[in-house]
Amino acid sequence: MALCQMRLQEERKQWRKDHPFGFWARPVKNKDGVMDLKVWECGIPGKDKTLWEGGLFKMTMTFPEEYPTKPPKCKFTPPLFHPNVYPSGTVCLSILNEEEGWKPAITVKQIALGVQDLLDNPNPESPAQAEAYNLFKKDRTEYERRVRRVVKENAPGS
Amino acid sequence: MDQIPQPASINDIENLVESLYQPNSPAVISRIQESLQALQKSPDGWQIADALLARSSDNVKFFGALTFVVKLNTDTIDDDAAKLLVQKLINWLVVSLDNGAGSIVIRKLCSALVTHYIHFSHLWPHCIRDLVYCLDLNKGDILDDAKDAAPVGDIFPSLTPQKAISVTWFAAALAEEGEKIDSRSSKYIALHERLVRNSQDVATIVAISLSGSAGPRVQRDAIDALHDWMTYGERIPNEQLTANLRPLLRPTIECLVVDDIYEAAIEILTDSLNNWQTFFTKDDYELLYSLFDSDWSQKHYQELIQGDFDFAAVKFGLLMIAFGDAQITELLNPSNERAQRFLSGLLGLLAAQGHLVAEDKIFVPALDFWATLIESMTDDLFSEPDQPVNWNIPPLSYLMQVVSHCWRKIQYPHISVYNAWDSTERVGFSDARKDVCDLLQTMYTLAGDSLISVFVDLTTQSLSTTAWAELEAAAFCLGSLSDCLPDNDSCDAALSKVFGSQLFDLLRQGHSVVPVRTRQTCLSLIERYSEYFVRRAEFLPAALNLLFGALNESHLAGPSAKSIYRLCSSCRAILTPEVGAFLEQYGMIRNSVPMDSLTEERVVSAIASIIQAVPEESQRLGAFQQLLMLIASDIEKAIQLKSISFMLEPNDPTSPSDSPINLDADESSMAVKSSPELEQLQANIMNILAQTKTTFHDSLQVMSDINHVVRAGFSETEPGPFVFPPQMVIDLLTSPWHVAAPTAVNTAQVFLSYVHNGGYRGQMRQVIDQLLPWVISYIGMLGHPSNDPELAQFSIEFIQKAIQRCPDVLSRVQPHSNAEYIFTFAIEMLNGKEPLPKAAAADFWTSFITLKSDDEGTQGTIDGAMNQFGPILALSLIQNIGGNAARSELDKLSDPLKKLVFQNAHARQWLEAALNDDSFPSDKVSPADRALFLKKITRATNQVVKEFWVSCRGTGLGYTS
Repeated sequence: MALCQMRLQEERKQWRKDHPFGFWARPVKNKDGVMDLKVWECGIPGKDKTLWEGGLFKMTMTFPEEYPTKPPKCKFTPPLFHPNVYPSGTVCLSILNEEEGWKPAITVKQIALGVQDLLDNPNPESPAQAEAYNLFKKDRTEYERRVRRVVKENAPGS
Repeated sequence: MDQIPQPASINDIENLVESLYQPNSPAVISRIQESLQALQKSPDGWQIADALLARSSDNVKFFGALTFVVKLNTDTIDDDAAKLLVQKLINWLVVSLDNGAGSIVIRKLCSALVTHYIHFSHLWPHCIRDLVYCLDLNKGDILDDAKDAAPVGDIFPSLTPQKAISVTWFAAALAEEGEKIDSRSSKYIALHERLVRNSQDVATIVAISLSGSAGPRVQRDAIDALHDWMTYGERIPNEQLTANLRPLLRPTIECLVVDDIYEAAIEILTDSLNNWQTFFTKDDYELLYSLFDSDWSQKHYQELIQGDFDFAAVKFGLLMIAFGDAQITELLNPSNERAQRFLSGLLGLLAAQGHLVAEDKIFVPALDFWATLIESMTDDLFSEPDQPVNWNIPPLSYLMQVVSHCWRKIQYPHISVYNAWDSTERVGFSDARKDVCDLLQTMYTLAGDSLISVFVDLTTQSLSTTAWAELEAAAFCLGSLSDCLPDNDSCDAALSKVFGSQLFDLLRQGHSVVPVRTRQTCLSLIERYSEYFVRRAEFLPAALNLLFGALNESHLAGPSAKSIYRLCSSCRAILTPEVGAFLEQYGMIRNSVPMDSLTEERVVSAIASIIQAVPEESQRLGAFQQLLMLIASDIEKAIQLKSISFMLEPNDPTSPSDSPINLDADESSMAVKSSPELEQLQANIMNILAQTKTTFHDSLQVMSDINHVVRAGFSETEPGPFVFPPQMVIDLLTSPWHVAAPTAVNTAQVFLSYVHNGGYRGQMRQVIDQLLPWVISYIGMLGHPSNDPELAQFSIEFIQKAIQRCPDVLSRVQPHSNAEYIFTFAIEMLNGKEPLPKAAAADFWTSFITLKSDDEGTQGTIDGAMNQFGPILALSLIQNIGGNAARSELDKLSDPLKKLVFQNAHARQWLEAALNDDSFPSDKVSPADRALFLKKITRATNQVVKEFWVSCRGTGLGYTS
């Protein structure tokens, strides 16, 4: 079996055994109901006691054939209002960048936690969308209002 | 606080160590620690360690042993000294054991010996044998004689239990430390080889200890040591080591039934079944099978499923699950009766007594096991489609029981019980429910529509008995399967049993009859099966009435509005004749029911989606006009209330994401034919927008929402109320925007793409002619891009698109100095620190460098500008690449550089001048390096740019990926 598949099976096992509270992540199923280990859907909850608390944000992790040598691509669907999320929804985070912080040892759990952490700790050094970035920089009140709205729209059961 | 006086004698040090264990403030403790650490690191450390071990207090002795560890790790000593040291340490161990020192001292001495071994394993390669020999004779200085001694197996049984335990602790620490040491480093290859050689002696002492002759404590410590060695063996695989350890598994399994060592044994077995299944032989598995068949197992199992969730009971369940995981292939085999019997035990773990998570700690791990099993079944089925499938025998016959157990487990307890749970228990409960959904979805692949029927039956049954918690759980499970269903009517008959039942009637009766949670789950069922209602429109009115009715209950309003939207959107074509009724209903509830903005937005979106589907134009526009009037009256009110700072959230009935943008649409698709009614509607909307804009000019939020409304039409491909004629958009855009100028300019640049791709391509020139001076006036007012990076960015993006579409606009910019100003501005942006404007400027220059025109005059203007600004552009790019830019910006900056190199004949000369300019930001690269860089960039530009940037910034900044 390809290294990529083996590692993803192990990741799935580990996630089942031990995943952080409030998160979910599972491979998608194709039309026949067979799991496609290379595409995972996950729910990233906003951290307690932050602006993002109460939201559960849907994200897709797409693992390339070269995984774990190369990192997965993480994309919020629908795209998220956040300084480090591209208008397409793709997350800009150093641990997800092959040329920066990615290491093959990074687990799905660490990625999920890393993205959760990014929500409330945007990195102004690498903006990915103008709207959220500019509000974050120059109008914090409006930025926070927008975030609260996004959280409300993405509250489970709303 | 006062400084700690420097200790002058061993007595002082002893007092200081003792004071570490006295109640003291953290600050004092930290000072004491600092002072003691300084002593440990001092050259006198060795003598201090020795002297402290001679004292009577265990704390002081411990500190002495610790000091040896510190010295071994920090000082360099020669082999002779090291030899003496190990003898001394063994002597201290003998003495300490003799005078009854506490286990903290003995353990620390063992760890000092292990530290010694890590550094000097060549001095006493057979450490286990040597230690056993020395302890037997109560001397450390006879180490060299050990090689002639009797085998470990002969001496070890005669050691006192204390000595046996200390050897076992030493053995355990040896593996624990060994595992941390890099096995690939050549420095430690010999150490690992020696560790493997010692594993035979370790196996001997563990086997003797496990026999139980020296009591349960020795047995327990032996299991712990084995655990450490197995972890070592798993991490650093070695056949010899595995072969030495493997025979110990059987006695370990036998230890399970000894109460005193049950926990240690179950821990190691579960752990290795989870992580190292190949370590177990067929015989070991056989032994485990017969163990699970024994009375002893039955007793533990019964306790667990009867609701005993203490540590030992749960551990038993986890051992079963680990064993099940290791035996999956056997468990999938219907003809293996023993395996099927064991599997029925795993089935029972899903039905233990007690509430999920708060009490029942075994359900979630057991559920994980079953999910894995079902996935394996599915894989088998797909890989061997011809194999017979028999649902009447195990393992398949167990699956419906799995479903039934899950359904029972996820039922909410009585509200008083739920309220007593803490937040972790509640989140855990809800997570477990999600895991059940996951399992059901996996099972659908195997079981198909029969699974739907199961939950339909459970739903109707619980409905008839008004068992609300059961109903909630059945509806929850049924809902979780909605995504799995094929796009056909295969399950409609089954679903009709639910939606045609008295369910809706009961739900309408409110929370006095049906508890809130049950209502909420049942209502969401409607949304989940919205496609069903498209096919079975007869149930639609009842469903919608129910949902609209729920809007006035605060906790149901949000989810109901979402369901209304989903349902109306799916069933829009069926609902068009009812559009009047919807408008009426909305008109009523908005006056009687307090709705928050999100709820109302969803209801309005729902109605708008029906209106959109009305086939006949005048009817459609009429309905739209009615809806718009309602919204307009809200806005009117908001304008009136502005004085008391009422915040407005305009509802936007056409979300831009509703329909895809077809960038390839051909020009004729936008038939730009519009009726007088439509024109009137558009004028009304524009009026509303303009009025709102004037009133709320200081609210960034409102201004941004206005822009969203304007942009909504940009994604449409057919005429509609929001697809404004270009002139209307231009008039609105070029009116004052105050704080929201960047948003308006951003809309303008999106507008250019829309004009280009939509039905108005022929008007592009007029559009640009009107908007460009407006944008230029903004950057003129800005002065420098850093004064408003956002406005600067959108402006340059607009200009980039404008000149791309109509290159000749450049020559028509008046006055001519304005054109120069644009280029200077774009250079300033490139030189700036703001990442997004810098990227926009890089894009602008990339486009400009490659800009071509068929018109000679225009081409002349372009070339003139390029010749004028080329050297400055080259300077800016080189300064960025020379270290001023951030690493993440380099790819963007490489684009214009690449284009420049390949498109412009003067590029080399400009870049050379830039590289040799006095203002070059780095002094880390020589003129030769710069010349080489210039030579290389004609080849692989991006990579070369990155390497050069690293050299400019200095080493250590390269990424190691």
